[in-house]
Amino acid sequence: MIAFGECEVVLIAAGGAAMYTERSATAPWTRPSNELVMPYGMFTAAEFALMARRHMLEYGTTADQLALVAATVRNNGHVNPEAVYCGRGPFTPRDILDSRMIADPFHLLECSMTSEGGCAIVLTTAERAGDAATKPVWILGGAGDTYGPAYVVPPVWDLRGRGDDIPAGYVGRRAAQKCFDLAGLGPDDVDVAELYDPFSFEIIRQLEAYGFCDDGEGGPFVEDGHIAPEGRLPVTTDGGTMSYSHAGINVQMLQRVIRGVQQLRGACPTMQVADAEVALCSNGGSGALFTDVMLLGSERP
Amino acid sequence: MTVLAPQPPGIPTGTRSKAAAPYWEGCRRGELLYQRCASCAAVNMKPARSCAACGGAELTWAHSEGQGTLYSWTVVWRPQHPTFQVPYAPAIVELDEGFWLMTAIVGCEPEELRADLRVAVEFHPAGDEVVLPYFRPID
Repeated sequence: MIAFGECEVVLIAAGGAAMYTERSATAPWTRPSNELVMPYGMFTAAEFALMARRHMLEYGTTADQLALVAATVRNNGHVNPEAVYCGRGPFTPRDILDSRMIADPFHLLECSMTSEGGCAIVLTTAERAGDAATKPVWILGGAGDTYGPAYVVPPVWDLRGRGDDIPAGYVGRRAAQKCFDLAGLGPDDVDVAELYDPFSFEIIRQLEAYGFCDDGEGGPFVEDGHIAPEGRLPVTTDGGTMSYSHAGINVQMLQRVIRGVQQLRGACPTMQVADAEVALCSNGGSGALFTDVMLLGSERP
Repeated sequence: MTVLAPQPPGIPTGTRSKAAAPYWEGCRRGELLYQRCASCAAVNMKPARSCAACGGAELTWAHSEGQGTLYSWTVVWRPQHPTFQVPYAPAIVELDEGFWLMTAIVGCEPEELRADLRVAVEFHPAGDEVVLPYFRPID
């Protein structure tokens, strides 16, 4: 709309409250209604678990590696005064594995939580942004990727799209490649990765899908400390959907981009990555068969 | 010992689509059907009126022998809805005819689930209208 001159300023806003009231069931937005899926008691944790299991079988990814991811993201939220779960940690990987099992291999603390909340983003032209009161952040690239209707088609890791050899487990790889091509950048140029974190495993597969490490190396990459606060690639620095906020439907889908903007402005109250110039942000996930990627920059391209 | 069992009738089953009607009719008489495209031979995992792979309009229903291998699974301990009895084991089975099916495994303990486990279909009612295909390990 902005690029075609239809408008100059766009406000994208989302909010959610009082949606999760039937506590004996999982949250309403996690429960699919499709006839082929619903009768098997499927919900998002189970859908994503079916993807995680294949990765564990194929590459030897371990429960300890998944737990380390959850501890890392939740600890980012533990120290963040703006997180719903601020002060609820700190967590060790052992704490994660000691929480009750939800859908094997996911324990309670490896799943996103539910909360209420809202957020918004303002988009405008480069010209208009030039005299804005706050420091603008620039969109270097954005793209989406899908393998079929979510929570209808089963989440098969090895499902292939038409005319390519990328498995559905790496949904989002095409989107990331397009973003990097548009920006003339690569994974090594990314200073902070605001990765969508519905479940612990999603961080591991995204590290591989976007080229931060080789296929199957996401678990060892995490074990080597790369996503730790002082590591090469801090991830989901506000605590994400596991600890910061998860208000259902659409709200959390904007939050990785918002945190990416805060990182590039140097405005994060905690876990600010020093001199961050490029942020990769995502939403969606393998269990939902879609992933969107956006690359943000601190300088005008 | 916890043996995985079919869910009792009364679980939420969603709304039957017209496109999938032959599939559900097959289940009611104890036959597993799948939809294949006459043009490109792709199997549609979601029954449709045109092929998801090539757009072809001629889709045919084929008979599956109902045997395959366990491709992926999870064991659920926190039910989606309180009518579901835990634990239950949603799974993806790779049928010998070469397609994947969303289902659940019954007739064994959760600890017995492993990759490439041989399984066979069996049918259990989920209510007055819907009969569901489940899979059980075979030797």
